[in-house]
Amino acid sequence: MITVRIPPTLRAEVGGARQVEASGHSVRAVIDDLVERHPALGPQILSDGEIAPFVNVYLGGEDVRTLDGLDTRVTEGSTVILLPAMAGGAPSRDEGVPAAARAPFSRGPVVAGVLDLVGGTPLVELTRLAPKPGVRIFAKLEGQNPTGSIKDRVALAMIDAAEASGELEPGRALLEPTSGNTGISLALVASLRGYPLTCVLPENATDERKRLLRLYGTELILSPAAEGSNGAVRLALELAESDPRWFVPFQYANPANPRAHYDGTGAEIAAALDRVDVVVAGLGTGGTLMGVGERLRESFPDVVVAAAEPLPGDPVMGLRSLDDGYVPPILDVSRLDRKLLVSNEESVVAVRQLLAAEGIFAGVSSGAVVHVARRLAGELDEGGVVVAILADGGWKYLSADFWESPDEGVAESMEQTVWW
Amino acid sequence: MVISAAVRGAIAAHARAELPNEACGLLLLEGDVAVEYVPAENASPSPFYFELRLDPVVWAEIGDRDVEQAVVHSHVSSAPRPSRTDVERIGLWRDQPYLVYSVRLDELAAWQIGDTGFVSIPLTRDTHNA
Repeated sequence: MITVRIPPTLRAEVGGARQVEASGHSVRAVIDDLVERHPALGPQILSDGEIAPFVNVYLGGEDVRTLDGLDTRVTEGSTVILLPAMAGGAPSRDEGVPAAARAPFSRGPVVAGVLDLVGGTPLVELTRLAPKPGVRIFAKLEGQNPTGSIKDRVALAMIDAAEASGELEPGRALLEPTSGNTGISLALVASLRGYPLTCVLPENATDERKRLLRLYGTELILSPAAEGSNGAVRLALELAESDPRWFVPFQYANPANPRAHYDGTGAEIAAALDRVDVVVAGLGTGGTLMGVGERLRESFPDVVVAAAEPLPGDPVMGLRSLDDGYVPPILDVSRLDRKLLVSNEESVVAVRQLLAAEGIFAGVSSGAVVHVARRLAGELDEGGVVVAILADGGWKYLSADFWESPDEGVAESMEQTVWW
Repeated sequence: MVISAAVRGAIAAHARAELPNEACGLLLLEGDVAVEYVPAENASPSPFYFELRLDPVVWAEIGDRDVEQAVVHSHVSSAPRPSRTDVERIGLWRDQPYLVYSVRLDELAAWQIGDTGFVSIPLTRDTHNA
């Protein structure tokens, strides 16, 4: 027989006993026998046939999850110890937290494929850029996603949703207007899932982006430079209308976009922090602000959801001015508590400060976000917490002139290229 | 719940020693009197997470004593109030006493987390066993 020690929190299910007996040659067999003898234990210690997340099972002092799980062999006369796992620990998979944070022990993640690494990005405190003592700014580093941007979450969510709904059949061709990160993220997902992808992008998008898209096997259709991102949207929609073979995920109107941030980005922040007074993200498609904002309001009802918006006619790379004529269907402006305008110059100054002071190499839209985060942090009382969502890393912008140009020349050096 | 200055001091000292990360442990109770604090390891060391780890044999032996167990953990800077994470992760500790110590505020508070939220448990200093 096997002795099973029962913790106080489960003793009501076994008639108050501190230990009971069960038989079996594996942990699974022992637990099955235990549940057969004490049926009330079943829903407490098992979930979908596995050990429930709030229970730890030990054999010989080892957590069986670190051995062979339920298949761990048990020898006659052994003692199995059940203990209640402690609250506040590893968050569930549903919250989009990575395997490393979920596991009951501290190891690097081992995953089945790179798409399992989407999300679960770290929060880093910006101790040197916080504008006053007692107010904390945390940066969520979305550049840590597999292709280096927050758009990996969106691309994966859109493809998953389309596959689940049956809209996207195996092998169907994808078409998406983008001048940057979303295309690269879709290129990753499409290449691994077997969908040919064509991206429509402005002809003056950065070379890094065009090259990376081609390396992932993406076909490119170039739209007129003068029309910017809106021109790419227009051309892609025209192409899709004239040829039904295309499936267009269309991040600007796809509810899977904000949903990815509700289930992922926002849930991760809510799980990680005890307090959030302000969350700042750039205004692009609106997906981040809508999804994260909705999720954080559930945990922190008074949170201020703030958008960093480029000055009209002065588009910070990656961001979109609502005055420039296109409001994405997924964006409900009434759900934004604050909307602060940021110039190219302010964004570049901030992204350089981020690199120099905190060692974080981020894209320029992150400069706009940090600029706004610092300003709003300055309005908070001691104890206040600001979260700044940094959409991507700086690598895809490395060829740009603005990193070294003098502050006053920044705006001119940025005019000739579409960045997003 | 009645708690002595010595037990409270042990919780506070452990929480300070673990900075910048959260600390956690078990509070042992005889009836509503806290008699001992057992520091545990935070297996996910972080200023925002804790995951209580204690030698399973030691923990099982504590379970054989005639004491109740309550989980204690620290918040580095925020108020000693259960966070959403704490509520969502309460698991088998539902309806048990649950304590949070705020290092920044030097405040200890006791709670009971149920299915629909949490309620405060009044804490009293044990002046006879200070």
